[in-house]
Amino acid sequence: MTPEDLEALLALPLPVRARTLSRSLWVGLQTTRKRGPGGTFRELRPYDRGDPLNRIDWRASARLDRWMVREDDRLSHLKVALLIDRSPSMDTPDGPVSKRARAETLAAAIGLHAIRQGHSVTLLDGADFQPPAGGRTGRTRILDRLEAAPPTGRFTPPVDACAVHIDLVILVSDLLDPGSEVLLESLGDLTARGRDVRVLHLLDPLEREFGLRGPQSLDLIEADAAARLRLDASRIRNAYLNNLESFIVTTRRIARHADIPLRLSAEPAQLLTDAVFLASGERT
Amino acid sequence: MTRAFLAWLAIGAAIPLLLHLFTRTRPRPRAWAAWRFLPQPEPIDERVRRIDQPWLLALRTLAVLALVGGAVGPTCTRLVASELDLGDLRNPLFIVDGSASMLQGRAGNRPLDRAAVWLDRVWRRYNWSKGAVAVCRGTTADIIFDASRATPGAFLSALEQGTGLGDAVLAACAGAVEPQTDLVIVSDSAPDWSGLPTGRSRRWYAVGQPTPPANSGIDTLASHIRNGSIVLDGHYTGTDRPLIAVRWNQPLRPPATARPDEHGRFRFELLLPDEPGRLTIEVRRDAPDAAPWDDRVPVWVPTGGRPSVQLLGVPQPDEAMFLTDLLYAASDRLHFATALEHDNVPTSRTVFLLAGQEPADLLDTAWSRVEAGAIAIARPVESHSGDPRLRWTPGWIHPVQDAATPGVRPTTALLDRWPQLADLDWSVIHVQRIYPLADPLPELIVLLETADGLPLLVAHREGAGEIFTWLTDFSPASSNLPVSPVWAPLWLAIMNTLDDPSGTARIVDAESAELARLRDLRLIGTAYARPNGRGSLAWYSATHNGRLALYSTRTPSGEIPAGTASGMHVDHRADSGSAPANIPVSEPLDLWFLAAGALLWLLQASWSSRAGVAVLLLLAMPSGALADDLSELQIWVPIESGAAAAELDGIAHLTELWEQRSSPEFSPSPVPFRWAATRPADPLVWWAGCHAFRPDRDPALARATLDFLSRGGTLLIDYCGGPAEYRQYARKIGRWLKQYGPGGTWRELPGNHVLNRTFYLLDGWHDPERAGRPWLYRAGDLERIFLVPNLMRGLSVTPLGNWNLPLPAATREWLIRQGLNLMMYATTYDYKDDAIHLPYILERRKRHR
Repeated sequence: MTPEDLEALLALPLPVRARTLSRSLWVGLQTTRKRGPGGTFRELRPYDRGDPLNRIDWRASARLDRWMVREDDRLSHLKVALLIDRSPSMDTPDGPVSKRARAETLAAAIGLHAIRQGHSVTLLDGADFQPPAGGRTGRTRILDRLEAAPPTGRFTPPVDACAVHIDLVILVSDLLDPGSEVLLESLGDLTARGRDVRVLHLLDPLEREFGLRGPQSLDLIEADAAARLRLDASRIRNAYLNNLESFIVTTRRIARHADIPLRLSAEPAQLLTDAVFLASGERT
Repeated sequence: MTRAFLAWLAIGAAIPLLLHLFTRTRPRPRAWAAWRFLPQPEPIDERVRRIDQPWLLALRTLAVLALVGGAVGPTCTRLVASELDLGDLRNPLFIVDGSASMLQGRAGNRPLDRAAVWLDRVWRRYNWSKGAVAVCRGTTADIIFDASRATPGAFLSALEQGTGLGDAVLAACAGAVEPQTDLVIVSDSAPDWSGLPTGRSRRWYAVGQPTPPANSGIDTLASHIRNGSIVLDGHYTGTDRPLIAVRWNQPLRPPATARPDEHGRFRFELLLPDEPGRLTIEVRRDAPDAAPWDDRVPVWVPTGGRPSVQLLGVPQPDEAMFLTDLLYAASDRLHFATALEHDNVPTSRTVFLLAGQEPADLLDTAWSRVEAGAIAIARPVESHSGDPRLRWTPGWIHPVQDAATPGVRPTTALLDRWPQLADLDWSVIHVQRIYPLADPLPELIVLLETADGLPLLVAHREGAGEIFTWLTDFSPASSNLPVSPVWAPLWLAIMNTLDDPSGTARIVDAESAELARLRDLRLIGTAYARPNGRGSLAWYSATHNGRLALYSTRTPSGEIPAGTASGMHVDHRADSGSAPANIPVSEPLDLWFLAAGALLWLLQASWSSRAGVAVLLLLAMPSGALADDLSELQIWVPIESGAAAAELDGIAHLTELWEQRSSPEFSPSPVPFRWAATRPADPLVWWAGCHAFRPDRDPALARATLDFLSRGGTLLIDYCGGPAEYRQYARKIGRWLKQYGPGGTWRELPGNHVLNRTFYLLDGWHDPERAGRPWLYRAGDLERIFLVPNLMRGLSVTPLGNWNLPLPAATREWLIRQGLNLMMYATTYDYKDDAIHLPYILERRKRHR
């Protein structure tokens, strides 16, 4: 996708661009870590106490001379929560290719894609939890929510509620909120409890590369107090990039420890790649 | 001013204005969410911002105007007062050469342009209401200028080019005037006054690059000096006659009737126009009949004043201490010291230090000076073997022997020559390594010998000069000579053998205004250079007759002058006996200072030099772009702690290892400093615990130490005594700290202290009985004083590469890791979280990609 294609896509109404993007995703791309009978074969593992005897793979057990149990991916509909950061920090930069526009497009596309596969989806962009829904209801809820005005204030999704009701949690955020490390760690608790979590770390190219030069005037978004900084961007560029790189390393380390697939996306033109990652959990 | 100059000026002045207007546009406010990664997000002071722009404009305008001034050449060249002083002229007639040679060169840079400027200035100076300018453009003189209608400069600029004129025409012009006229000829060639009518006054103002007619004598030479065609370059004597040497940079021909003396020398006598007395130039050619005289003949003319020291060749690192000590020991006597290069000015009053890597041409130069009376100091090195003149070669000297000789005694030859040295205690000298003479020259004079009778210092004459040869090298591992109390008196005595014909030598303080007042030498600032860890001197810059030169000197008191921000000076003679090897220089050369110097230079420089200066100015224009160049971290060593050479070597070794094993750049040279005089600029101070701790030391030291610690510094006390006194030593320091600062206690550093994780993950303490265990001084929140035993000594090596302290390999490796952790702890707090290595790693990956 070229930058021109991206601009053309993001200029479309949200339902249209969501459908356009979701049609590019393959059905069946969604995977789950839930195991259970009835699905496709996943793996063999040693027998553990309490496993049903009918799950024992006799041929493999005979071959390996130990009791082996056959594990399949469970065939069931998933409950998907889309945690979409729509806080003011996502509004940068101004224009059609803002981080929020990218996040909303991805959320709508992934939501429609999941519903098309029979899953139920809920979109959470604030502190309230709404149960997931499928079919026409779920689709309408997602699009209505995304087309409504974004909530003000910081992004504090109800992660605890997801632990009870949700199978797959997808977070799309720039992680610039001061509590983002805590959010990642709490998502790590979900993976420890058997939930799937995927994180798309959205950054704007200007934020990632800090392409500013010379004197700049910056209005700080989501700062404790509204402030405007005048600074020489050329002088602080190295320090900024060092700090950002350190932050990225930290977030990656947290995600790795929590077994969360995390993708850093600072290139808007790779929207489709981002969508594939969110749908499959694997980097392409 | 010529029109060309005005055009240049207008164009040049427009550039910074446009730049300024373009760059002062206010940036559009931009929403920025990733503010948490901005370093120190403090709003810029609006008042500072407002004032910054006009300063920028002024600086840019100045720089461009300087470039323009340089481009238009002598049009804006400063004319010295002597050039404008024409004495008592009553009825002047100015004859301006209008020949083609006066019109050669770029517009604004032609001899005629300079003549126009000069004539304008003279006209204004004398306020002549009448007078005349004759411009010779044919075979007769046309008096075609009326002073009441225009200035002569503007008039000349408007003239058409003349053709085909020469000396004969000039003479014809001059001959056409009244006999009682004061005649001033402005020309690029020397007039031939013979045959002219006798007037009241005849003067020649030379412009351009005049070629002196053969055998034109003293006046021609004086004119050359006055108009800058002779490059005066050299040492400053500090006497009333500022020249110590003249470098003749133009074809120099002896008079046709001149005959060389028995040494093959020609003698020119030269009257300086504005100075009393005369200079004598002696030109010596090895084969005067065979060599043409129209090439450039460098002539170094000693005229008295203070002697100098020049380092010849590249000294070995272990010689740095010797060399710098020698310079400092004799610096009361010497005027300056520097490395001998092609453009420097050796005289017969120079002490050459032959370090062993001398290029042949420089050696030739030095040798000729030695034959004329200079002193050379040599020592046996392999690289001398190729030159038959240097007879202290391995063929002359036996291979190295380990002497281990206590005591050195002066010979009667030395005491006869310098009786004042008899009272010195020569027995304190210990020589570990000596090069015995194999086949000494018959004229060799032994000045010092060991207790076993082996010669240690010998001298022999070479022409009018003398060569002193040490039969040991200058490494501290070979002898303690450089740090012994006999060192300075001995060298001062040797320096005194350089005669002082003027008898008026006196010390010129490089940082005083006195130097700046001296003619033709304009002191434009003080800067300090970093000399690659080989010892250094302070350098100052001066313009000397249009040439930018770097001179070295030191401050007389050895202390930091008040208000000196650009660097520091340490005169470590006060600590002789335990002097660190390097003279510290803490700041890089100030680029703004260089730019200022270059600007001054530009206004006087010859055209060939201006391109380089223009580049310098352009580099200096963006403020701050090149200013912060202190990328290397350094370890600071307080001088009062009495650091020994072995520990300093250990520091250098450790920093080298740090560079190898980690990413940050670290300077291999520790920075000696005084607590009372300066504050360390880097956060790690290494304190040698090699001597008994005196609790009655100056309280100011304690306050300075605590001030350093309160600013986040780390103090590393490296105990290098025996294990029995380790605890006692710690207690003494603890009591001392408690007396002046917050009370605290020593405790053994726990194995899980963060110090063991800052870079290497160390599991507890390795072999604490042998390697010792670090202690930490805790006083409230202050946890930045570490006491470690034998860290740097354990890491130091002898000049032959052996470890100074025998330790098992594992213990040594553990010491290295502990040292690196300490340095990381002190300089980065947390190496990994600070991620200071990331830029280096990214750069490396980029290179290998």
